[in-house]
Amino acid sequence: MPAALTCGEPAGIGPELAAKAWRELGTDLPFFLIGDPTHLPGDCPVIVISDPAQTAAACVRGLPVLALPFPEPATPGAPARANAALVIDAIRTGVDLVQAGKASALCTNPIHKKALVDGAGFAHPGHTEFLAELAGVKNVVMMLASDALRVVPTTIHIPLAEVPGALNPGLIADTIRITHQALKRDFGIAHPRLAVAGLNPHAGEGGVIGGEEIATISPALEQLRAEGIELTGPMSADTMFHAAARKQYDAAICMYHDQALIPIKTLAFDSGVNVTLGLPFVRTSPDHGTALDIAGQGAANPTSLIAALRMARDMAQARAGG
Amino acid sequence: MSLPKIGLMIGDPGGVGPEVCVQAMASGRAQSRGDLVLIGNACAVERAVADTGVKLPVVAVSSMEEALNVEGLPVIECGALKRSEFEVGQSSAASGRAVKAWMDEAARLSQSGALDGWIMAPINSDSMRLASVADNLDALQPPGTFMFRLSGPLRAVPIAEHVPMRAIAATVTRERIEHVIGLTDANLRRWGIASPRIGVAGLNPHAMFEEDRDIIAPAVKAARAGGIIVEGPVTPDAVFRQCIQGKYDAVVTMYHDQGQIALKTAAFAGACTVYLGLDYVQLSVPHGTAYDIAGTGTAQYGSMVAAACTALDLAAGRGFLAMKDDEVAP
Repeated sequence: MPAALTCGEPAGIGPELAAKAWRELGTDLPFFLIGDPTHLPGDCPVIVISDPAQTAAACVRGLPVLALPFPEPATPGAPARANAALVIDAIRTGVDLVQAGKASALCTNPIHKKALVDGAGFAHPGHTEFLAELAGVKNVVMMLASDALRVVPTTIHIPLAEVPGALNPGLIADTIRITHQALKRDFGIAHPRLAVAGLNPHAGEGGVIGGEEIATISPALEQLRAEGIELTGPMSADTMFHAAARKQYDAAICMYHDQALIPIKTLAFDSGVNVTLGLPFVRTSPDHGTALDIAGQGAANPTSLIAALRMARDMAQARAGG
Repeated sequence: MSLPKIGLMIGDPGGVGPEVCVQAMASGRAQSRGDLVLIGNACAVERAVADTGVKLPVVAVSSMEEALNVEGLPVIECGALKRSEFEVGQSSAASGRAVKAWMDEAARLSQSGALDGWIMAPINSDSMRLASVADNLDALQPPGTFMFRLSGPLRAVPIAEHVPMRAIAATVTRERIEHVIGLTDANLRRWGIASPRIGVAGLNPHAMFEEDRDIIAPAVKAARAGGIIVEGPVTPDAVFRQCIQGKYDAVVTMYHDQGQIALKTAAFAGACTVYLGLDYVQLSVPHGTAYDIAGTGTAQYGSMVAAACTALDLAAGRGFLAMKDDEVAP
């Protein structure tokens, strides 16, 4: 079964990345794009399909596109207001197809949130929350994954000063449970080992440098250990990501955005993949934005999208039982 | 200028410090860059020589001039430690007192210009407490200094050290950021980088919140108006990779773990810390006393070699020379 790739913001680098990904992956990893075929670079062979089942045959000759006609052309760098609703429709279509069993996994190209707010009154903080609503789930978790490391931030796009107040044992426990289950189901790891970061320098050093480790994190970890989840922590964040330490766990649970993002991006700037855990289907996306400033020049680097498509395939296979 | 001169304060006598110091010196890997001398008591150095099997005589001296004429391992003798007063692998008040005397002498020699600076081998917080010198190692950081940490091409200096997360935002002030940017620029120039390029990390995710906009951005703008080549606030998850790729010579970070996570994740060979804000170079190595393996001669001394090379290069204004892994491997 093919993977579905949404077009994302057509004025960004999504179209050229889709074309580059097809050139790289060809028939090895059949996927189809949901979007407007006219938005793609002129030199990309395009095969318009009417059903995802045609992907395998079509991808031999060109990039299979499940056509969703947009009202406006794609002007690199300048999102068209009238296109916003269709960008959202493409996501909706992708979710419908993957839920209906017509696509193996959903991979999403980046959206430009402001363009969607201005053009279509998009009311969700981001892609992930929108997907959770479409899927009817309340708690989802963001994972960043590369060959070297998997990280999960417990809190995401909030100011650092608000992180201590946002953390509570329930949130930490939910994040860990969802991650643990996903490692088993989607990554094929029978007995996942998790490492949990502290919040403060040196994980608080026994309460000397902040008390959240003792008051908030450890109680959650005790509860989870009682449930049989294998984890270590709260660990000093500055020593848990070096090469030897990374071998000791399958994913690192972090307390704030940059605690998770700094190590993975310092190690793998281009090949990190954003994965949403806790959805009823597999969803990955490249770990970058629409890059409006370089769109249309052919300069965009497809490494992360290619890695995202590969990871989507692997996860879908693991979920289907190998 | 004449060859730079750097002292190696041997660190807690019961830890691996004396061992890595004598092995680093005996390896001869740093001495093409300048002159090295040990600072401590000969009895502690002799202990390390015996434990590591280094085949060089230990020679007590009273000055750097004297040390230059010594064949073997010269030790500027200070403090009053006796061999009977410490056990390998254990902390002691005598060790703490001795380390304090050695640190003071190293600083005095550096201030007077007899040395161009010194390196602090690992010291032990229990020994320092037992000797009533300091309650914790943070208290021994020279006042007004900032810890500039480097690991290969990645270099980062935080505007504050061990601050609880709840209190971090309050430490992010325009004055402090401007001060550290200025200090970083001045030191990089003194160390031999003609036109240093500095990146300033934002505080928040994607550098897109209040402090990034209202505090960090104006601080960077003011520093730039003062002639410093500086950018920021840069997205914290991108700035370290950009430094590794050569876009910046150093990154000013907003809190301890921001830079430490990147440095220890990347973990290039030759990691060490330089204290910004002194007239001479003072460095430390990124490992502790390792009491569990002290006395076995198995501690890796590559970090001490790297620190010695770095200290000599910075003191001579030669900048940061690329060090290959095998140059600083034990």
